Amino acid sequence: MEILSPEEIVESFKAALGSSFIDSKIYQREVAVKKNLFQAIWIYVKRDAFRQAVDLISKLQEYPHLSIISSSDLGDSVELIYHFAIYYGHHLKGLSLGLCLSLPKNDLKIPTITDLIPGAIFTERETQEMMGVEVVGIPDDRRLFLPEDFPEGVYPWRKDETGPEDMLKVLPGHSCHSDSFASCHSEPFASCHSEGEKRPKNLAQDNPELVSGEESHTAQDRLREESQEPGEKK
Amino acid sequence: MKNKEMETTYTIPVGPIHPALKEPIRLDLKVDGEEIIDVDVAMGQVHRGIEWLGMNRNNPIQNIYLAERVCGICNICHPFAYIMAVEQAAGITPPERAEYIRVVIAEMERIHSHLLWAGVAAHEIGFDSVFYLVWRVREKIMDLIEYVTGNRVTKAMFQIGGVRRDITEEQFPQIRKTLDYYKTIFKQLKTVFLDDRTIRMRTKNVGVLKTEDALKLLACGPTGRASGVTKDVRQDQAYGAYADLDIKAITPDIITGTIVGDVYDRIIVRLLEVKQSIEIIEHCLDEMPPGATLIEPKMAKLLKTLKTAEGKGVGRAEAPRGEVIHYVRLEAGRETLATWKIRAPTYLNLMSIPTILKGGQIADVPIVFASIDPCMSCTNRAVVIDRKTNKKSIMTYEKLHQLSVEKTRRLSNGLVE
Repeated sequence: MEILSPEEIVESFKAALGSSFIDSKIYQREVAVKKNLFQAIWIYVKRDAFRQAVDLISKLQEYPHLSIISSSDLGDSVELIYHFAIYYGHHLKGLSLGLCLSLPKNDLKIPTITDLIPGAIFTERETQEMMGVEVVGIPDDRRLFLPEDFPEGVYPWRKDETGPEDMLKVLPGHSCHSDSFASCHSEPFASCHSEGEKRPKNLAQDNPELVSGEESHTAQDRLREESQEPGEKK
Repeated sequence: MKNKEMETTYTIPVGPIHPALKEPIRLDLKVDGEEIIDVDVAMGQVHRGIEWLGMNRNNPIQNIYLAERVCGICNICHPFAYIMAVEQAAGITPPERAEYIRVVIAEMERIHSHLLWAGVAAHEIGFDSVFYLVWRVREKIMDLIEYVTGNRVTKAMFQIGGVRRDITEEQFPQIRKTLDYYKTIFKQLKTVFLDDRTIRMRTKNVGVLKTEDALKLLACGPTGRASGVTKDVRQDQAYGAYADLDIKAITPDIITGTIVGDVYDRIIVRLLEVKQSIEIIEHCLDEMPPGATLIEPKMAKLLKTLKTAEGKGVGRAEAPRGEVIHYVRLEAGRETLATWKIRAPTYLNLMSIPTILKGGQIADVPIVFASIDPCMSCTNRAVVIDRKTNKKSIMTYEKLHQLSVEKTRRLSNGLVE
């Protein structure tokens, strides 16, 4: 196997992907006393060339190591980075290769790569449930970490209106509306209902007692009383 | 159809809590008699939203201590990977001496983690005398960790741009003394784990993960190396003082000449890595460069630098269980991290669990599952569901453990006859 330098890798991507290649960055740092290089590459490609890019990475080393997919909410778009490790097994020749894609918020879809790298399944499942990016063709689309009763349409890593904001308990630095304070404490999902239109359908189906049952009222009332008279709390 | 009716396949959920291992997980085992036909893994019982806290509540320095608490055992490699990611994103270079101190601490962690695992593995097959022996031996390295860092568990050694405490010349003799102790008992440990008949019987050709499967399922750390995947971040990428050393990924063929990828091979890899860690620490003590240990001791100033920095960084470190990766994105003007993604090694190794358990026996579940050294707890209670009658019965961890112990006894008695 021939080991290419980061510059050569970038050039080969540029040549193969053409106009779908957007940008690249090479990071190098001298480490410790002998000043050997730590190297990382970031390659930005368009979505239509995504699978072709993964194919190219597989040509650099058979069975490239996909460490994880990270995703960031950038406002209008979601950035996915596929973190690969290539040239493992060769002393100090290893490279971190981040394959970066930007998906518009109104079309959050990415094809699966589990046919090329079977071990991508966990991280694809996680990206799907946490960021709400649909992985097209995923062989197992169940949730990975989130519980089964977690409401649909809430994505913990989002920073927009689909984020978990109104499911949060009061934390230092988190501003919670004073009128929903009690509901924030009583049931994590109850306050979603007070917002109205967002997720009542699913909540009503799964947890009717949370949405309109008497229990949640009594729990809220009790908490209000407690917060007014803290001295009597037992 | 007639066959279908006769078929007695059971689904045994194993988990989610067991105090001997560290975090909860549930395994759904589909069994036919004693044989395991299919396995499904259910995670998420302890998803604590640590990344969310780092992106919404904490500043990057507070995150170091949060990263330490991702795992009680790997509390060096998580902050190690995290600070490398932040340093890369913010363009900070730590002093040379700090790189060496980081590696010394990380290798001490590896020794204690591998010994802890060896004890747990012995316990899982009912070999408790070895469990006591190994955990007694492990106390020496725990004492050393406390001596060097001030703490047994969360060491709080790391800081962005260096380390928080120096290792002084006066401490060197004590460190060398402990390492010498391990060198003297290494041969004994090797005999106990590699030559003992009981351990060989329970671990040889059990829980096999073939090289190709390991590559496809992205197995990392000792689990991958035992299957012949020569992947070790310390060898592959220049980070810390490892960049100055000539580190070679350890595979079981060093001792046996072949790679099987079974539980026995995983024992070999971890055992040899203890020796490797001793050598790395000794080398670091010999070659430790003089100088400062922290590039910016004033935290307020460091925080300001981080607040104005913009960029992304990825940090990889070789934990006792495999590769840990942290990805960090900084936005100028933002107090917290813009993005933080953590991936611990067990995340990848769990994908191999169905492959290595399939075809095995229920009594082998504890040792095989423990052999990937999962940073998760399991096997406390198991519900056995009879598909025909839909009747549930509870199988406790103790029962499962009992099955494992009985199997060891059976095999030993068979040998005696």
